[in-house]
Amino acid sequence: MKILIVDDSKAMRMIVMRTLRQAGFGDHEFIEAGNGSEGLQKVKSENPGLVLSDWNMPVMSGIEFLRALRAEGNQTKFGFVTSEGTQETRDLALGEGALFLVTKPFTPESFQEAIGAHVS
Amino acid sequence: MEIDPSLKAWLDALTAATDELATTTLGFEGCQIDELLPQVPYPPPTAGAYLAMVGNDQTLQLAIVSDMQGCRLLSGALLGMVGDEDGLAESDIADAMGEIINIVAGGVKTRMAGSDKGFKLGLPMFIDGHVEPVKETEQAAHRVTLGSIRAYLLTLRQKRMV
Repeated sequence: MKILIVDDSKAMRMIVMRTLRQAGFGDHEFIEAGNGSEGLQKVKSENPGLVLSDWNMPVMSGIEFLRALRAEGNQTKFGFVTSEGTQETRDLALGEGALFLVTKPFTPESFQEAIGAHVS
Repeated sequence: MEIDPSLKAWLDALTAATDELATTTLGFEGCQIDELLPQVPYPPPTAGAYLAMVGNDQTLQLAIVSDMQGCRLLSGALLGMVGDEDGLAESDIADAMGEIINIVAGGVKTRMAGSDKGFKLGLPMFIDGHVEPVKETEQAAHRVTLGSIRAYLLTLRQKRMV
């Protein structure tokens, strides 16, 4: 499965990929985008099985990215990996169609718990 | 000079969130508080990451500042490059330090959710050089030690007009 990692920080994309490998998801193919707008294009061109997106990003935020996807009828599995961990944010994310929200700082275990059920 | 208790609460949340990141991600034993300061220290730290938190009735700047070598070491700790930090470009350090303050600010927002639910996180920025707060700025800082790195955690807020 292709997993699309969307974050404006190159450092964080690298850390997410490293943690995914540590969590046992290293057999999957990782692709990257630097904001929601780039993510939208990558979803269309690469057809990933799962999107992991940051929340606060320039150009297009994570929640705008998710809304844009769903508005186009795209139901790609989508989860947030973000420093935004309030209940309000979590409720908004799930209400808009995200499957989970992993809060930074995260561990391999938190990835296994959140992602495991959604990755074939 | 006294520190407003409400600003001290933000500083304590910043320190707690930094301690969590230090322990879970950076590989340090924690964030040791060495000193509480009522203002940004002088001579000022020369490099660091800043992020604005914008609320309904106040805006704060949160910062983790050190010198360039301290930022290099913190970035190496985040990126799992301890011992290889010299290979980091300044752009890598800016990116990593921005992510550090972003993660920490998220922890601050969660910890302070009871005081104002409307807070929004800005985008982080890295400054190689010191910031001089204007006199209308309330300040509070912790001088801290993270592993072998000496740094400052800063909270800055515009004084409320009566």
